Amino acid sequence: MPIKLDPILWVGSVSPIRLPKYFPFQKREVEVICRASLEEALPLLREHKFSSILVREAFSANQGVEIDEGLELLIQARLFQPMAPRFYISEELSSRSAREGINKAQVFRFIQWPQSENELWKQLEDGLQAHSVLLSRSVLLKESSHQNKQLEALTHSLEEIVEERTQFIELSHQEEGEKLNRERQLLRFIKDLSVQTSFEDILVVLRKEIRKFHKIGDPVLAFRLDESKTIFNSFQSNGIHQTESSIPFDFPKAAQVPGSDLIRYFANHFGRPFVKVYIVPLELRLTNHLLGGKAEVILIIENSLNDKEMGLFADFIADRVRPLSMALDRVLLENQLSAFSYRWEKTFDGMRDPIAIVDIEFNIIRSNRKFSEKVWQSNKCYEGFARRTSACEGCPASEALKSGKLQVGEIQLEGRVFQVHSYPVQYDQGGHPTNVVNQYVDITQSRELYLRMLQSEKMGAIGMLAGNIAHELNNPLTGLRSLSQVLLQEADRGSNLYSDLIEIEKAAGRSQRIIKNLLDFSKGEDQPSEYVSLDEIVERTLPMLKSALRFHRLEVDLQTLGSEVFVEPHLVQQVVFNLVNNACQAMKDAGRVQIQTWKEDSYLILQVEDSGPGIPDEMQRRIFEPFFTTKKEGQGTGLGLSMSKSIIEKFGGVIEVYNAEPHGARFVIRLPLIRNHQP
Amino acid sequence: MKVLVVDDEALVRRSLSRALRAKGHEVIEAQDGNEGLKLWKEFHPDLILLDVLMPGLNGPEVLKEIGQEKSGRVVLMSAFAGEHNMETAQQMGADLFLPKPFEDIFAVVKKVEDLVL
Repeated sequence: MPIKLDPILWVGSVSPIRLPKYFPFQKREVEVICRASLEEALPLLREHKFSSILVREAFSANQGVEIDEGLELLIQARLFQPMAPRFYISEELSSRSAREGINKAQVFRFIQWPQSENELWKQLEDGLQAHSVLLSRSVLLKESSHQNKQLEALTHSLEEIVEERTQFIELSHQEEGEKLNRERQLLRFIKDLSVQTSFEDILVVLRKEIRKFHKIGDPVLAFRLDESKTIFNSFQSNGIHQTESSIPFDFPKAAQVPGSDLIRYFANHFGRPFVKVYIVPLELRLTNHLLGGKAEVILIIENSLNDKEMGLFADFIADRVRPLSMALDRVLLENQLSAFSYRWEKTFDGMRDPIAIVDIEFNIIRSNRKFSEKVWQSNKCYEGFARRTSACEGCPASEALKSGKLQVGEIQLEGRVFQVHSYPVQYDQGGHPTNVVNQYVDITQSRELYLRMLQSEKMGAIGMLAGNIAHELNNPLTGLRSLSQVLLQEADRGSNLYSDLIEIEKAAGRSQRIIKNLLDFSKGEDQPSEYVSLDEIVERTLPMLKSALRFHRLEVDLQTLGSEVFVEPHLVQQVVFNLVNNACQAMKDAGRVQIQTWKEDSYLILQVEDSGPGIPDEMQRRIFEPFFTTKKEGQGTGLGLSMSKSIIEKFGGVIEVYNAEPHGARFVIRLPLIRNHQP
Repeated sequence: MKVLVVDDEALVRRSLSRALRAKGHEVIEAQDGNEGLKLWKEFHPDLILLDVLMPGLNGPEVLKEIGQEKSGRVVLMSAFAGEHNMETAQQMGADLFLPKPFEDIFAVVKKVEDLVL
């Protein structure tokens, strides 16, 4: 569709030709508007657009000067419608008009008037053609310049976007970098913290960490395990000092710049002014779990930061609260645990009794010092502790494991009696106990005391009995003996009656002595020592051994008459009695018991030897231990020889055992010779 | 002299009597404390041999009972070792303590004779 062209304007008279209403141009009808006068045409120029403007010359004289008004109009037309080709139609073109027409109005064509109509239309068509070209050019130009402009705008906005993006990217790149850097720093901080093992070390790491902020003082760490006491870790001139305060104050529960009360508190505690501090509470989760929730810790950081810096610093610290908390928590927990463990260990070790934790196969899992002292490189408790190759007789550990309950038993080790308490330990909830705690209570002494008490009571009872019997017997014996003595006065010497009476008198006398011996023998322990002949002690004891000796031959050879020892006779009698009695019991078949005394330097020796089977070497070491007995239960207390030993040692003597030849046991007692009546 | 022997053991009484009589003394026997007390009061012996442990009144009780009326020398005899000695016997008003059993009856007789003469 061709562009509709603006109308053509004709100014001036038309005659002699006739103007058509429309002028055909390139298959379009171009309206032709005609105005006769210039005055009429001028407003049109201002209001409408025209594709061509044709003006006829029109001279007028003004004060003697000729003015071409047509040309003037064209000048105006040029101003208003520069795009429309202007035609100047004149009958006679003056050179001035041509010059001014070209210069001032830029006339497209000068047309000679009148002219053939065809020529005119041709000129007009040329003009229109030129206009059209011009127009289309201008449209094109306009279009292209518009497009240009658009492109330019587009380019511009693109550039802006790119710029913006670039800035954004740069910014975020920087941000990412910073973030990464922060993370890296944080990571390093956490790594640093993770290898620290004390509050002091952590404090040093923290100080290094916050030093990058200026206007920051050395951090102070305040902690408490309960409300009674607050401990401050702070940097002093020569390292970290710990100070304590028992004045209570509440630890803030959130990070803050605290009120003046707290600052005054710090100032008082440290004895120096505190201006501005920042307090960060740290959480001790594990420690509190262990201690029941009383432990608290806060970080006190002195600073002179302004509000903006404080914000940054608070963020910086906030990032580090968790790792710090965890590190402190860990250190505290370790300390607490090791303190617990240390205390347990100490308690365990401090216990007087040997204690061992053993498993089901008697392997020692742990033991206290008292136990370990006795053990050398053994896995099994019975190997190390008892020097045995199998579980100790009477050990209740297996029973305790089986029953899951405390069991008590008694074992004997090297002459000592231990009461063993086996406590089953259940490590897994609901499972069977796999370990037992064995506590070995040495009851040797109490056992010995108890048996000695029994013995002493027994002797006391015998003593009392003997006393009563003595009285009951002594009276008739006194009468018997005395009467025999009276009758002997009356009887004829040499008669049978006389010798009979002698025998009665003797028997009565012997009976009296036996009773006296019995009384002496069964005296309590608290009798005074006296100077006494060892031979006499032996002789006094022998009558009481008659029944024990009834199957055996007794050989007595006493050689120390006139020499005295300083002893409690009844106790030494008990020793003699024990030795001879043991000798008799050791000999299943009829045998021989030999009792000898002799003098050897400043000692009196008493030897009791039997012809029994003797005592195996490995037992000789132990027979003087209390409770060591080969007799059946109920037949002996196992105290006889140990008591004999302690009696002899009480009086400065020694008792030893040897094997006799060809077989038998020989007990040798050496007692210090105190008084000598014979030269 | 007149001697009163108080003892629940017949053989003791008998042997003492025989021995004392053989020395020419007059002897009266009592077999328990009550009888002894009674005989003591009516007989007024120069010497009393008094056993400690007896049925009825025992030796010390007899001594206590006689109290101010005591006449003659008193010898306390005991077979129960340890309970009495010379000191406690004298505190009870006896003049001599003799532990039983006797080793030699004539030595005893000599001792008590010495006490009176």
